[in-house]
Amino acid sequence: MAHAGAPRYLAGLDVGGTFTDLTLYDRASGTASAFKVPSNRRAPDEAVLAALDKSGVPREDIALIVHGTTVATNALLERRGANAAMITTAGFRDVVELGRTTRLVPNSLYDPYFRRPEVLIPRRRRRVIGERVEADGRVSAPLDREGLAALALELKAEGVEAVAVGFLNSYRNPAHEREAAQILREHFEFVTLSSDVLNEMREFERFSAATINVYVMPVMASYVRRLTGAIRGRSAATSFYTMASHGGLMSTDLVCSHPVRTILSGPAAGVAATVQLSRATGIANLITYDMGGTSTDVAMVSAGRFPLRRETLLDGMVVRLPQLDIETIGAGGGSIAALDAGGSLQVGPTSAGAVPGPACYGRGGTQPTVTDANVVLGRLGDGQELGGSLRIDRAAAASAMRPMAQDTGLSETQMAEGIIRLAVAKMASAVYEVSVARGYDPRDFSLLCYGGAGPLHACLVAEEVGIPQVVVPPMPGAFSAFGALCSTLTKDRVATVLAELDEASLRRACALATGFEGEMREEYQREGIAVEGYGAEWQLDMRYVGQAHEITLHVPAQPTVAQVTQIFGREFEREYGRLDKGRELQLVNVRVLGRIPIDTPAFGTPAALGAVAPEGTRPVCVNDALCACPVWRREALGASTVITGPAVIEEMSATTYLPPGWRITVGPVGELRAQRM
Amino acid sequence: MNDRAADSAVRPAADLLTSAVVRESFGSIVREMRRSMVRSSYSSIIYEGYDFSCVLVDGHGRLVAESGEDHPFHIIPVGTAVPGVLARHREIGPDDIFLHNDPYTGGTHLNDVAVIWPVFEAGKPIFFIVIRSHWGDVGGMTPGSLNGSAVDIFQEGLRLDYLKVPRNGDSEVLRLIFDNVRATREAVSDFHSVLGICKVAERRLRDVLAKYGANVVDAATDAILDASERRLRAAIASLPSGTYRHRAYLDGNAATPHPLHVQLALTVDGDRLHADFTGSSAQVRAPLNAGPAIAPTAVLTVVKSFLDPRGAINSGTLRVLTVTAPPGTIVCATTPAPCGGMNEVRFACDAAVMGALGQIIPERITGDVRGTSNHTYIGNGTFIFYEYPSGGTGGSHRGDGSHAVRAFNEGENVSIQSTEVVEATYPLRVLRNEIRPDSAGPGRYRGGCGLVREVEVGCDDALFSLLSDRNIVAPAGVNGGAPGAPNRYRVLRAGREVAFTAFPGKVAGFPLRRADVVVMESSGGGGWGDPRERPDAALQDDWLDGLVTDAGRASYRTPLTEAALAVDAGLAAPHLCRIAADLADHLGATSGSLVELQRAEGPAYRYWIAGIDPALAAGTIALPASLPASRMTVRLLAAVTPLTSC
Repeated sequence: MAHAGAPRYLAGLDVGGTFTDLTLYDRASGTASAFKVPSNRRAPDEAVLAALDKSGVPREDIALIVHGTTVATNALLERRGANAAMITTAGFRDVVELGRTTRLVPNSLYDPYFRRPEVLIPRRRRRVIGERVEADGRVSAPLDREGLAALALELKAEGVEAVAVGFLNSYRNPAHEREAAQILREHFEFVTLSSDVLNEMREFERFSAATINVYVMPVMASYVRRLTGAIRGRSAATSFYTMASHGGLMSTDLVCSHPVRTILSGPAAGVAATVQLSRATGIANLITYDMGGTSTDVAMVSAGRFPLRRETLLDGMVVRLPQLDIETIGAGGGSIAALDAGGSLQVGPTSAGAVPGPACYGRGGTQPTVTDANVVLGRLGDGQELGGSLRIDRAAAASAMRPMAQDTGLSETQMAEGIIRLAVAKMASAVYEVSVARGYDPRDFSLLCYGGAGPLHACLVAEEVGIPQVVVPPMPGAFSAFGALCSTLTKDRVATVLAELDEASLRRACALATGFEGEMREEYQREGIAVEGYGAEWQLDMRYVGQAHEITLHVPAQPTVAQVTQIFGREFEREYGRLDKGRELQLVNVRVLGRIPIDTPAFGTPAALGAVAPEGTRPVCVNDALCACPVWRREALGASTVITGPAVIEEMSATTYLPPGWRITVGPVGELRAQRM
Repeated sequence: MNDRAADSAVRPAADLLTSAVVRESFGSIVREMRRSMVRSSYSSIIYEGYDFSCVLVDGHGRLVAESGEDHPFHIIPVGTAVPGVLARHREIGPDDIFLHNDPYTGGTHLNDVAVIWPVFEAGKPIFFIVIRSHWGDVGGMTPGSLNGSAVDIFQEGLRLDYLKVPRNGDSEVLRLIFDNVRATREAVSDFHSVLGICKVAERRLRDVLAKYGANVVDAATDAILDASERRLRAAIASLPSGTYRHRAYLDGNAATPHPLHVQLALTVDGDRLHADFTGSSAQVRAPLNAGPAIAPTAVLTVVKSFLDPRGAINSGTLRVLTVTAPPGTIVCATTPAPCGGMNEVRFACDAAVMGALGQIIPERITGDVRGTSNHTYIGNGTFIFYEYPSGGTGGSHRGDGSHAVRAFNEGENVSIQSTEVVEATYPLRVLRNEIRPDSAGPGRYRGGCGLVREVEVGCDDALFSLLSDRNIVAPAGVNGGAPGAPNRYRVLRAGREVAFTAFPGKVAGFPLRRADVVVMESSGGGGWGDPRERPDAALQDDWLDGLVTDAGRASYRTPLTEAALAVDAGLAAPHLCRIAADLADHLGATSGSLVELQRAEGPAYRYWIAGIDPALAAGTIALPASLPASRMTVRLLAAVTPLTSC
C-alpha cells in the first residue's frame, strides 16, 4: 500500500497505563523519533492527540496512525462496560458464570475466602429463549420468535444497551443465532453472536467471548469514533488502525464490531517489532524478554513468525481467541524482596508499582525492590536519570536493603546479589516455560530484551538457561511504540470441522478456507482498503483422535492429506518428543488469516565509527567484589565498537549490564549483540 | 526422617540465597511437568479435569516441590510414597519405576495411580519424580470403577502396591494391568505420556544437580523445608494452646450405620498441632473408608488454608503436625475395606477440623462446602461419562460464597464437562446446566448456590453409578449461619422420579433406559452469621437474580427457635438427643429427625433425635454431653433420616 507522494510520516502509538508513547517515522529521512506524554485513563484519546501534537508534525503529513489500546481491557478489568444482557438456550443461562466450576484465578488454590470475580452480565439480565440445535446441527426446536421480540422490548425497557446471544451448538449451525440477531438489531445497536466472535465448539468459551465483546462494545465504539473523528477532522487521508491481540492490525469497523480482539493487545506491538527486527538482522530465533515494573513478558519468535495461542485467563474469565503466546510472570523491577515468616527469601508478587515505586526513586518507597538491588550493586548509577523525571538515589536504596541484610547477617551487596539471583531464576523459569516446555532448545535462540529493566538482567538470564547471545534493540524503551508500525492488517476466520483426517474432511476444510479467503478479501474492499498485497495463511488445528488439545499447524493452501500428516508428525514430535503411531488424526478447526501489509518503517544503520573507550567508570559490584566498571554511552557506539564485560551501557530509556565473560558488538541495525566469549 | 538432624550436622548449611534459587528451579520443573500433562493426555479426566499432580521427592523421601496448582490430597500422601518404595524393595535400579495406588499403604483411591520414577546418581536414587493421575478406570465392578455399593476393595479395581515395572514400559505386568481396565487404549497412551514427562523432568533435574552439586542441593532442601516448617509454626503459635473437639458426619450407605462420624480432638501445643481421630466410626463394608494418608492430608490442608494459604506444602510443613488415626476406623482403614469414597471421609475430616478451628478463630472460619466428590458415572461397554459436580462455597466474614466452584480444599479440577463436547462425544444430551436456587446456606453472608445439571440418555444399555455423600447431612453454616441444601440425585423416566437406589447418593450400575434423565444437584455452601442480619438490599439482589425464591427469601426473616439444653448421660451415642414434645411439634421433628444446634459464634452441632421425651421441660433438648452454652438456636435439617436404630 505504499504510495509515491503520500504523506511523509507514520505514527505508532503505545497507550500504556502510565505513559502514551509515540514513535514517528519519517519516510523521507528513514529516521524514527520518540515522544512521551502522560496517559489519560478517563479519556485515552486525548493523550493520543496530545502525543501527536507534541511531535509538532502537521496532521495532514501523517499517512498512517497505528495504535495499541487498553480501552477495552481497562473497561473490562474495572467493570466499566455496558449495561448488557445475554440471551441463551433455555437451561443454559448460567454457563458464563459456572464455566466448568474452576476458579480460573491463579494462586487461589488454598484460599477459603476466594470469591469469583464479578460476572460481566448479572444473572437477572441473563435470559433464556426456546430453541434447540443438536450436536449434528439439526434443529430440534424452532426459535421462539415472538418470545424473543417480547424479550427484546422488556430488556430495552430495563435500560439494556447491548445484547449477547449464545445458543447451544451454534458452532455447528448458527441459523438460530442469526435469526435472533435480526430481531434484536431492530432494538439494539450493539448485538454480539457467539458464533460470530468465536465459531468453535465449547459453549463456555464461546459464550464468554460473546459477553466480553458485547460488554466493551459501546465503550470501544465511542472511543474509536471520538479519536477517528478528531484525526479525520483534520486529515481525511490518514489511515487509522488498531493493534489486535494476535499482533495483527484491525480496521476501525472491525474494532467496533469485535472489540474483544483488542483486549490482550498490550504486549503485541513489542512482539511485532521483534518479528521485524528478526527479519532485518537475520536472527531467526528470538526469545523476547520485556521486563517492566510489576511483571515480565516472555515470548518466543521462531522462524520470524508470531507465536500464537488460543486461550488465556483474565480476571476469572477465559479469553479464547487468537492471541500472542506470551508468558507473563509477576516479577519486575518494582517487585518487592522480603523474608517470609519462615525466613525464606521471596521476590514478588507484591510490587512497589509506579507509586511510590522502588526506594531509589525517592518517592517514599521503603521496601527493597529488584531495581534497588541493581542500584546497590552500582549497575544503575547514583544520580542517573530515569525517563527524564527521576533521579536514582543510591542512599535510599541502600537503607531499604539494610534491615533485611542485618536480619540475615549478610552485607547489603550480598543481599542485593541474592535478590537479583532469585529474580533472574524466576525469569529463567519463564524462558524455560516458553521454550523447553514446548520442545525447543534455548541454545538455538537469542534473547531480545527491551523495556526499561530488561537489559539490566538479560545476560544473567541468558547464562542461567544457556542462551548464547543477547540482543538489545535500538531504543529499547520505545520498542513497543515502534512495533505498532511493524505489523500487517489481519483478519481471521475459523470453523470447526471435527472429523477424522481423510480426503473428504480435508476437502470440506479446504472449501471452507477458500470461502474464507474470498470473504475476507471482499470485506477489506468494503472497508475501502486496497487489496493488492492481500495474502492468506492457512492453519489447521489437529490432534490424535481421543486428545483434547490440538496443535496449530501452518499449512500451504489446498494441502494434501499426506502433507498435513507429515507436518503434524513433525510438530507433534517436536512438542511431545514422541509419536502415537497407529492413532488416527483428527481435524478440529480450519482457520485462515487474511493479511494486507502496510507501510512499515526500516531500522536505521549505526555509525561506522563508534567510541573506542568508555565515557568513564563507576564502582559496580561484580561477582561479590566492587570494581571500577567502564560506563559507555549507547549513542556513542558504532559498528566498530567492541565492549568487553564487565561494563555498563547507558542510554535515555534503559541501562544494559554486561557481566564478565561477555562481549558486545554493534549489529547491522544498531542493535547491541552480547555474546559469551 | 529423624536422621535429618544428624545428617545436617556434617554438611554445610545452604545459604539463604542458594536455597531460594534452588526452590525456584524445583518449582519450575513441576510447573513444566504439569503443563505437559494437560497438553499431551488422552483422558478427559486429565486434560479437562486436571485430576493429577506432579511432585519432586528427594532421596531421603522428603516431599520437596509441588506446583502450587496441585490437588492437596494427591500431593500430601506422596510424603509416604518413597519410604513405601524403599520399604517394599530392598534393591532398586536405574531402570525401575514403581506404580502405586494402594490406599492402605499411603494411596488415595485406586483410580489415583502414582508413577514413581527414581533418579540415580552414583548408584543410588537421589530424587524421585512422582506423577499421580486419575485413571478413567482401574477395573472393578462398574465402568469407571468408583461406585457407591462396593463392599470390599476388590470390587473397586486393581491394587498396585509399589509395583516394580521397567521404565521403558515393556512388561508383562503392565500388559496384565492394561488388559484388566476399561478404556485400555487411553490408559496405555496416558501411561506413556507420563513416562515421557518424567524423562524430561529428569533431564532438568539433572541440570540443577549438575549446576549446584548434589550436596548443595541437599543442603538447600534442608533450608527450604526448615523455612516452610518455621513459617507454618509461626502461624500456629498465634493460636491459643488447648484441645478442641468436634465431630463431623457422613451419610453412610445401606450397608452401614447412619450416620458415620469422624471424631477429632485437635490440640494446639505452642507452635505444634496434634490431631487425634480416636473415636471415629469403625471401618465399614461400604466405600466410605480412607487409608492412613488421608487424615493428615485433611488436617494440613485446612490448617494451612485458614492460617497461611500462600505457604508451600512440603515435608517441612508436614513436620508441624502429628496425627493419631486408629487402624480399623474409617480414617485408617485396613484391608479389604473399600476406599473409593476416601474423599467423602476426607471432607468429613475437613469439616471436623473446621469445627475445631471454629472454636478458636470463629470469625475466620467459613461455612462448610459440598462434603463429597459426587462421583457420577454413566457408561456402557463403549463409553464412560464421568463428572463430579462442585457445590457452592461457604460464606465468610469477607462476603458471600461463590456458586458451584472448586472449594479451597479441592484443587482446580474441572468437575463438569462442556455440554457441546458431551453431546458430540457420548450418546447423551444435556438439558440443563444452571445455578440451583435456594441451595445457598442463608447467613449474614450466605453460601454459594450449588448447580443443577440434567443429562438425558440416548442409548438402551447405559449403567448409572454414583458415589455421593452428604445427601442427608447438609454442609453446615457457622456463627449462626444456616446450612446449604444437601447434594441430591434423581432419575426421571417420562418425567417421573424412579427409585434408583435404596439409599440416597449411592448406587452401582443402575440400568438406565433411553430418554431417562439423570438430575444432578450439588450442595450449596454453608452461611456465615445470622441470616436475619443479611441486609434487605442484598436479599433483594439475590431475589432479582433468582438465587432465592419467595420462600427462600422468607426463610432469612423467619424467627429462630431457641432450645434449652440439658444433659442426659443415658443417651446411647454422642450423636443422639432427646427432645421435648412441644419443641418437636414446633419444628416438625420426630424420632430419627436430624437437628442442628448453634449460637452466634462458633460451629454448628448436629444431633439425631432418639426419641421425644415427655419428661423434658418445655423447649428443652437433652444431649449426651454439655455444649459451650445452655441455650442455643435449633433448626430442623431433615425430618426423616435412615437413623440406625440404637
